[in-house]
Amino acid sequence: MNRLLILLVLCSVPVSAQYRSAAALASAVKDLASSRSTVVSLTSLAKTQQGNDLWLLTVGKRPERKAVLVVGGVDAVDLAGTEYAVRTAQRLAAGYGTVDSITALLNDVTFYIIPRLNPDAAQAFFASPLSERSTTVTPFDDDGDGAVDEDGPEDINKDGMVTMMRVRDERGEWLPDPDEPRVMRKADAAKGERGMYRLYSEGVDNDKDEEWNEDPAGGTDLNRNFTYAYQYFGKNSGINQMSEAESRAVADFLFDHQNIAVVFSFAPNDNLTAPWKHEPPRGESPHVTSVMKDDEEYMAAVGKLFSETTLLKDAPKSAKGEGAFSEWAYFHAGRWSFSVRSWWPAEPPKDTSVRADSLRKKTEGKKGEKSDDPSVRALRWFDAAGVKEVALPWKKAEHPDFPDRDVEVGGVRPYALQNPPADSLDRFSLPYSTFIMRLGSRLPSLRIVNEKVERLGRDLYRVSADILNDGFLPTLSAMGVRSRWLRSVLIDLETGSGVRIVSGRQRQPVGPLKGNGGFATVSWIVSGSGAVGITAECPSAGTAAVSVKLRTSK
Amino acid sequence: MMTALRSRFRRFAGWLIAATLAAGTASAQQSREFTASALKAMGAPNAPKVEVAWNRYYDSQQLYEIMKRMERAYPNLVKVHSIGKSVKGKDLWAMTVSNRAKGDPDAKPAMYIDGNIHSNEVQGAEVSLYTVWYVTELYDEVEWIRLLLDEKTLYVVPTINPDARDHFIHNANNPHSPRSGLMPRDDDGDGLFDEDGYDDLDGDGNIVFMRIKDPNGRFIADPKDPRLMVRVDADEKGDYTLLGWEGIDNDGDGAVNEDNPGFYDPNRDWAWNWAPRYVQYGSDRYPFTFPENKAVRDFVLAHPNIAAAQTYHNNGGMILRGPGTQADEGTYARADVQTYDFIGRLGEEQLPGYKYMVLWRDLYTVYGGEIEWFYGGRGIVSFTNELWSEYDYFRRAKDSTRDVSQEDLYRFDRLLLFGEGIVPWRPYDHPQYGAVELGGVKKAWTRTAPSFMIEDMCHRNMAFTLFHLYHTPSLSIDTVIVKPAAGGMREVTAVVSNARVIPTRTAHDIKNRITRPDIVSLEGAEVLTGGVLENRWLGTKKEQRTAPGKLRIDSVPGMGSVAVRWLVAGNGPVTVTVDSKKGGRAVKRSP
Repeated sequence: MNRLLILLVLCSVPVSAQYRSAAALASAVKDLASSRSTVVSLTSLAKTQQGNDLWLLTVGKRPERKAVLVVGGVDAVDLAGTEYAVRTAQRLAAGYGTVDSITALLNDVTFYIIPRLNPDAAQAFFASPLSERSTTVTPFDDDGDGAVDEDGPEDINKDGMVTMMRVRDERGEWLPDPDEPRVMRKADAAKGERGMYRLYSEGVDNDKDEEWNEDPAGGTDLNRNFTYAYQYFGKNSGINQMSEAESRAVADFLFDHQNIAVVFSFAPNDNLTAPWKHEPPRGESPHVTSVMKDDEEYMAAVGKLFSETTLLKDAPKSAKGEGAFSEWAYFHAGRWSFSVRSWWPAEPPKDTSVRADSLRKKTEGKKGEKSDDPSVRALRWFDAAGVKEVALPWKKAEHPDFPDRDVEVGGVRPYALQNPPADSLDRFSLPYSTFIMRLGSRLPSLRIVNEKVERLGRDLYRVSADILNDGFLPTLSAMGVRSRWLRSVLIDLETGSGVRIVSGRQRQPVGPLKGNGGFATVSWIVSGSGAVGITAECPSAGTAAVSVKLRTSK
Repeated sequence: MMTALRSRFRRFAGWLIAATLAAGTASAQQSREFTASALKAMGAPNAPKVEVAWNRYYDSQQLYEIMKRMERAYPNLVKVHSIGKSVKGKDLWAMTVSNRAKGDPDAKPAMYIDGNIHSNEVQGAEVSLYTVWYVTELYDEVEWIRLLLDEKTLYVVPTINPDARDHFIHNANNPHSPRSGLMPRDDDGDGLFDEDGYDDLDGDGNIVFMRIKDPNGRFIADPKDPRLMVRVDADEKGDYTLLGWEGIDNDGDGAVNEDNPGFYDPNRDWAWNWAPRYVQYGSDRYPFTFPENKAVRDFVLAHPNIAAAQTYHNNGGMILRGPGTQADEGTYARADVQTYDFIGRLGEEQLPGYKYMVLWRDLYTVYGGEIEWFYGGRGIVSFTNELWSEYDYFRRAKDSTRDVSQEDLYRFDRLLLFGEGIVPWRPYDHPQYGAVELGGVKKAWTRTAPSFMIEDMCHRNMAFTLFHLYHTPSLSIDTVIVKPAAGGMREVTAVVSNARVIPTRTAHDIKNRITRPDIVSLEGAEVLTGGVLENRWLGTKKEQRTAPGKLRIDSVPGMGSVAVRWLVAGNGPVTVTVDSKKGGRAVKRSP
């Protein structure tokens, strides 16, 4: 069992047993910043259209130092990520001055934490009826008919939620899953199956175009709005890349902060339980579309660190990276970027009143098989955990668009599949906090060694040294180098009035330096007497300096 | 010192212009009387209300003053407005040009024109400005122009890079700088921004070349024109080494002029086929990083009536269309390419020496270019003209080429400019290189037309864009035929036609649902069924099940028509209306 995790449990953290609305989030981050002002500061990166703030917590003793950026709520339906991000900030702040390893970490590394990237969309969780929403409120004509936001969902059966509706129809493609009748799946005609239902999201065809709920309010999903593999005219991808204030603000923040070496985000784009694989480029496209060869093993190692720290597995398949934040942070902004869902119903929840063995049996289904369908797996998990009212039974409803057909409303409670019960947030967030801290301790770190002075005659000297990376990660990823945005290690030779550089540049870039002992040798010829200073500085790796006296070493 | 003096002079000059404007009405009147009696040459107004000399290049403030004069002279045709601010806070001045008495300019089919996105490519602003000047001055005189401004709208933004335009004009530059806008960038990755640009060592306002005597050099002075440096043959020795553009190593990093103002390419900043900077040199953070481009984007999104677009660059004598990359060929639908070809070939006739070209195929690969966004992002037929070409020097009967030969450049300077365009080599004591010589082309020579050819360039390019505007859709309802039908109903057939080459929605627009479908609606009777006639003579109809009173049609093709038919109940005349975002409106009442 790892020590940091135990120490974290001991850190006192204010407990909130509820998901936080924009107002509750604002008061939580303000409280943290005011109560821990020596190590936490709070800024707003942007105002959203609904007047919410895009909050940024800066946790660290020296904010300009190398940093990790943590982003929650990239997909607004993932509310848990926001909660984990806030708790991580709280744990870091509480650990400063009380837990030696955290104190040391925060003296060296800054954690920039954006708890919720899409506050306007997340507010849907606190609105009625309850309806999942990933998009900003920017008006958008999704169906291109000239009318904007004219056909959103409705709560047909007045149960306070927007779920699904199924319409009995001999032309329907859907049928209830024979193993789990609460879940609908498509009939496989080749296997002799016959569909019985048409399936729609709950609502009426407001604009009478025979499509249901195809143009709801707003329409840009931030996790489809970034430049990497952006889908022009894609669903919810926005009018163009970075069209939203929120996506631009976080992008500008990253471009403006070269000290951010690593980006961690809570998002469905999972490269921690399933690390990216390098694929040799095909065709003639100049775009990099898979992880660079030299970065692959570092990414895999961090994935392993995640698995070992959190013991999480069986994650649902990663979402596509088209326009996604996490992929953008690596492929276009050039940072080490890691992302994973905050939660998924995979393992039986630990420490519940039911014994783990029987839970495991229950979640694996009757035949002991794991279902491939994430909704089936999820429903079994909730059954086993004793959480009720996740699966909503199909119930008859009157529907104006289908006066002659049987219509039933049901499905799965909105937000249930992405977010654990609120009372388990403290517990479930703990391994994530631990992982984020460990990630922070794996940043590149500079040291100058083997400094040497050789006298070449009279007052002429050759000064040389090795610039060493003590950290686990390279000073820049291969993609970071390729991206041409990031600065490598800059070496300066500072000479006093008595020393003149005869050859070599006063300032020169070196690197990037590989992880765990990667180095570069620098040398100059100088004349004069006294001392020279060598400094090495890289925004993502920190600084190192030595002073060398001009006389033959040893 | 130098700069302070110059800026004081500029302030004085600004005051002088203002004073002249205020006191100038009477003398302008006299001047009009004087010129009105001359023999009018075709193509220009004899007694313009707004006198503009088309033989120089104006800075952004001067451009604005001329726009305001046009607005004052023709308030019903011209409205000057700002579409946004530059990096340095200057307004991006635009003109909306249309006859307001004949309808809301924003509801008519329109063309967007801009110039000068590359700041050193100045003449696009003059061509844009000339276009507005010409159509306003000749509105009463030329029927073709009058009808055009009655039916259509021009949105003209002479410069969308005023910061760096003024930098080009008022600061020392070479013909190729700054090109970028003026948002600071760290070009050399040393953490400092714009710290090592060119230096006007001799203070003559031009950034020219530096050469140093070198017995092992590879260059000699051209024996025919010693101002021109030529490379020696492989087996010869030269006299000089060329040291690049005028400058010093300002930041002591061993490199000269490696971090100039900017640098980015504003024409790689657009949201179509955009690529990051490791793919596309000059690209920046994301599409519309720069406020000038963002302002154009916002303006275009707010004006869905824009059906045509033109941007001006220099140089090379080209009429360019997208795609910018081979991989994007599929975006340019066949039907749309035919439209492009028609207008592009018209341009080749109007602009001798210019060639109609496809960017990636005939010039080079571009990701994230402006006209590609106009078409790819908004479905708008759009061209870039590269003003001033090789052909313009001596008008030899040969094709224009992208790269002007140095020999012709110097020869033209000698034979027609009498040496004004070139700084002859002269010694200079360089603080880092020692004894060098400075010389070469002045910034206003090479890429910009000389004074006496500007008006020709303006008029011919304007003519090209006016035909482009002319060919934006012109809709009418040709016929509305009402016939009695069984059961006391009536059958209404209407034919909607487009009298121009550009369709109401390009194929790309239709495919991606960029603008809404055109709507053909019937009023005056109760519509029972309705639909588009797939074959109007056979009467085969595609029924629209919902809301048949407002038929949604994909497009009215260029020089084509769409026929629709309804069954209606009720008597009395009916009114048929077509309403298109890019094609405008037309209405007809049945007899």
